[in-house]
Amino acid sequence: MWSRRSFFIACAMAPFVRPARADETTVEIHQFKFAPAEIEVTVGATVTFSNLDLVPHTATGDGFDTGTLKKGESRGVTFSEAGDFPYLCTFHRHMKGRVRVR
Amino acid sequence: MPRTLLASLALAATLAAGCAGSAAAQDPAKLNDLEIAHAAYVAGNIDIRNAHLALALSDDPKVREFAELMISDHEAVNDAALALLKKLKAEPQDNAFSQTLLKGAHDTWAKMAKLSGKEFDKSYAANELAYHQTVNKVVGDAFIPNVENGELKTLLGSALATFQAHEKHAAQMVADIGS
Repeated sequence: MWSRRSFFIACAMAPFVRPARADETTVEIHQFKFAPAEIEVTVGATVTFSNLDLVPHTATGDGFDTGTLKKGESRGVTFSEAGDFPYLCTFHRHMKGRVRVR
Repeated sequence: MPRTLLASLALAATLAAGCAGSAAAQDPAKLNDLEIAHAAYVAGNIDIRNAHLALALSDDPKVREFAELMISDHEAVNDAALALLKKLKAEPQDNAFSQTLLKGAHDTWAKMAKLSGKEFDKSYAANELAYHQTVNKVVGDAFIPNVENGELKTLLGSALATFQAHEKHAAQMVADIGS
């Protein structure tokens, strides 16, 4: 599946702050939950996953993976194709979320 | 099944309830902030050592995955605790409650180290579930309500969320391994 979909890990590990834009959305990881757990974005949007917990997490789905996000770290993922993309934390598999790309 | 850390914690809790006249120092609800920090750090380190024992003795993928997670998560929590103490220029204080935890842990390690295979896996899983259940009760009912420093209270709240996730994971591990 990795070869079928082209996702681009857009941003570096360091925390960052940007002005809110329509094509950018942030999912906070806090208290072992993705918040919001389900989001809808447009094709080409970048979703930034930001870990506020003490422990490392990931946001890992079909064709994308933030890699390990330690406390305070963020990483952006740009979704370049439409579709539904469920994901989870590979360390804590009960943590689940979904990105709908329209 | 080897005596678990639950027994040690239960002993401490029993003493804390006032069943023994000399138990005041072991009452987790009566620890000061620096003693709470010490006890929480010790509790994390105990589970890290539990995990290293599991990685040394178990071939079960679920047990090994859980153990690796315990090392990663508890190290992260303890690192955050050390960073806060450094910021506050404070030193954690050893105390009777921490000593009780450690004594129980040493007893458990000695017994679990003699086990192998499925017997070890079942014992480790059961111990992890009991340990997290009890630690979560102590942190939630005694440490967080009584700690005075706001930053330490916040840290303990985040740590409790972590340990509660571990408790659920441990319950699943127990169910997966079976009897």
